Amino acid sequence: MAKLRQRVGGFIPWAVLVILILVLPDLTRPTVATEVWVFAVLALAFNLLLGYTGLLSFGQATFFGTGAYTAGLLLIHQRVHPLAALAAAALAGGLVAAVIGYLCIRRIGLYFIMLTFAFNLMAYFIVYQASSITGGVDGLPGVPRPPVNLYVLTWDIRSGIAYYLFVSLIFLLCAIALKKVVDSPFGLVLQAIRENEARAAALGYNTAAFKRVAFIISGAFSGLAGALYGMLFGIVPIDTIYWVTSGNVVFMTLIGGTTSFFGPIVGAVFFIWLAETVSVRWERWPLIVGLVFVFVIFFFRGGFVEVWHRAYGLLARLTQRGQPKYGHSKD
Amino acid sequence: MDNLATTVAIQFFNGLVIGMIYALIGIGLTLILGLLDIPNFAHGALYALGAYLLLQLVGVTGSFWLGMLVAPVIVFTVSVILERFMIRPLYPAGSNYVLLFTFAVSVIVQELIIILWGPVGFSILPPQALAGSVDLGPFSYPRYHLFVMIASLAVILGLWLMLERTRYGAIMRAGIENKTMVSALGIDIYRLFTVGFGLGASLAALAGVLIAPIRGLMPYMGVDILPFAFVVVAVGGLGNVIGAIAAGLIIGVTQSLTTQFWPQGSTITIFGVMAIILLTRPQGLFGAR
Amino acid sequence: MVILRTENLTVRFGALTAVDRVNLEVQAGTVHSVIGPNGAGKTTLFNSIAGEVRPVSGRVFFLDRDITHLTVYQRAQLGIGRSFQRTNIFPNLTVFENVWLAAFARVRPSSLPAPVPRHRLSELKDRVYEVLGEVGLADRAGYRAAELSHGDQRLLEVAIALGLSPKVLMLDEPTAGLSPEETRLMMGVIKQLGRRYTILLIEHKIHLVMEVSETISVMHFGRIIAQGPPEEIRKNPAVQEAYLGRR
Repeated sequence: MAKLRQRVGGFIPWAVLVILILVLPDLTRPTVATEVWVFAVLALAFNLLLGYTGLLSFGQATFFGTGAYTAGLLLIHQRVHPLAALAAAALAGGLVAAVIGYLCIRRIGLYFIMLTFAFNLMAYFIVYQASSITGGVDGLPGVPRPPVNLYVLTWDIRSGIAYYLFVSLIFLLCAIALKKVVDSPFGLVLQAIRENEARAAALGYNTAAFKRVAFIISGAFSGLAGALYGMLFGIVPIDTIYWVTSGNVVFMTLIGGTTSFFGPIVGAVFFIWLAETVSVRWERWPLIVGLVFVFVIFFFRGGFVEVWHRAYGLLARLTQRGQPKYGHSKD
Repeated sequence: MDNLATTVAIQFFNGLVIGMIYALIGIGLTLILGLLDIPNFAHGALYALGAYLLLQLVGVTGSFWLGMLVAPVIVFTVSVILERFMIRPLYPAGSNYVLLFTFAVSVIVQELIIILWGPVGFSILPPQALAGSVDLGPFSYPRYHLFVMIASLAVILGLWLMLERTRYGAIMRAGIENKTMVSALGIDIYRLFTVGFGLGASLAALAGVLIAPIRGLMPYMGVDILPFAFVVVAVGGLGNVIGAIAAGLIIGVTQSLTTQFWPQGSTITIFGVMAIILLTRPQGLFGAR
Repeated sequence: MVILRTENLTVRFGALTAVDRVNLEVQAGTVHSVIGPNGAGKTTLFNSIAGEVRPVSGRVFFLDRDITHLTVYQRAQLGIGRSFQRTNIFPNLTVFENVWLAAFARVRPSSLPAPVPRHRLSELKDRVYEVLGEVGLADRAGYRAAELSHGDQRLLEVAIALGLSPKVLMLDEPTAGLSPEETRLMMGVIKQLGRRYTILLIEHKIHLVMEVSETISVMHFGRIIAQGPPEEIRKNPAVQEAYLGRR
């Protein structure tokens, strides 16, 4: 009976997610809703590094932007199939992550953070300077959204709602894939590295290699998210590779909660909602992000997910339903 | 003097000016890095805050000199309070959280600046006494620029003397090298962190104050300067004050000259150098292993 | 058969010689204890055998293979399993997962996220419960490691090393911080393990190792001042001198 409850319990977040996907376009504009799932992929990819491996990388935008520009350029100049653009973006993101990861991973803590930051800056300035290719500070305009041709059917994704469905589908696939990764033995080793890297090495794990692979996986999914972003607005703004975007990813992931798999998704929803909805009323919405972030740092390090768990636990105790589960949540 | 030589000379001087500014920012950042073990992401915002406080003080009192002296003091006070009551409680949670907090501070300060002073930039004039140019022989050079060079030099010299010749300076240097040893000697290491953070922050603010009449004020000046501050610190060596001075000057001059003669390559070169140094010589160009 | 051997191993930290030309030989299938007062260099010796610390000179041989230049994880892959003096577990993972990671490392420490065949997974699960049974933690398998009592954490510390099915089990002061009752329990576990594993044990409480060891090496100021079976060590005057006034 307990096993069944665990099974059902594990199913609930996915059900909530699907419901949210179906409901979101009714709550806000299709572009905003689409943006939520794009950043959700990015945040999940980032959390593979931060929440699961314990690596605070301050350069996630490097991969996001690389993917965005790769897809954008292929779509503009070669008119490739959207899925091919996504694949190319993931490949590009993964490749860049492989190189940067190889260079950065052997450094610890402080140096690692500064190096990922430095590479992000370099990437930004390369894109800035290569304006004949990338459009420089003005971004890369005219990214098309060719139909998704799958032999038996052709899906025109030019309308806002069609693209929304496309992106949310891709998001679900990415989320399932990443969930498989973190639930696998590989994922457990990453967590061991986060918990106690020296001990993991003493067990025989080549921790540097594991970290590099995690970096590559994260880079690939981030690149894919970048491609989705580029196709969303039809333009690849230089912001996609700016270090402030890296900071935003950090914000939304931590606010959502790094100790849970689904936390970063919550963070992405919150952040995009602020950025696109609150921003029209009050341009200074980043102040809210900053303040919420400080609040999270001091009181709820597990982010919104922790707030939820604690509230749920409190409620359960008040109604005397049963013992809530504490500690690292595996949901 | 022929045109090319004059241009180079002027650009070189400009490079020294901006280099001094970079040095001030870099010293502050490297001090905080060496003592607190974190890259202070709020450093740019504090630099911007210094400039904007100067603007406010000049507007209120009409005196540039007063503003120049008081703005860093305000920032010192504010950052000491910030460190003592918000950063210190985070130390047990790990340096990641301290770092993330400074990042949050940078965003909050940035937004507050825009709330208080608006999203549009300002320009500010140097004080009457420093207006105009000085005839240096082959060419004439703005008096205020020279003042910035001299004032920065004075501050840097004073700082160097404090670090090398006073007991407190020795404690600070020891704190950067070996914190456990310092606290084992019975010194309050946490108070050292507080003072160090305040000092570093006020140096950033001073840099903002000095540069304001030259570059003007823009709401995102903090965000724009932060990457360069990081480069200075990386090239000079994390925690290395002398290194920060040398690196600041080198980077300032390099940037100034390449902007004149090879604009496309200037920024990439700088960040490329940063990455290379961090990878191959993490103690910086001037650090000892 | 000599399973582990050091040859003139010397480790220096600045001016301090922590390990001084140590020649150690561990026979397979025995319990070999290294004892000595605090600061004698025992843990540093361990660390240099395990690879955490580089020697300034000398060599380490494992099964006749020179491992002096191998990294920590490479030595672990060869079959050296160590526990730590200061509890070094994975706090937010469960007891089961802690040991499972060790067992899995034995099977496939490669860094690619490839799936593991089902039969292998159930083998690993059995191995984990076997190890937990050997130290008496089987009933606490689902607990978060951080929630265990100190005594149980020390047992988990040993269990993790065991999970590797190591050829040599290196235990660094397993009784550190334990109550007399818990110490007795731990030594009982070690005695049992001694029947099936080669154990290299560090202790500074000399009386604990007398019963369990076949060979004892005594360290003092980085050097081995005596080596032999327990009865010899007990009678050795140099050993008595090293310990006098130190306890």
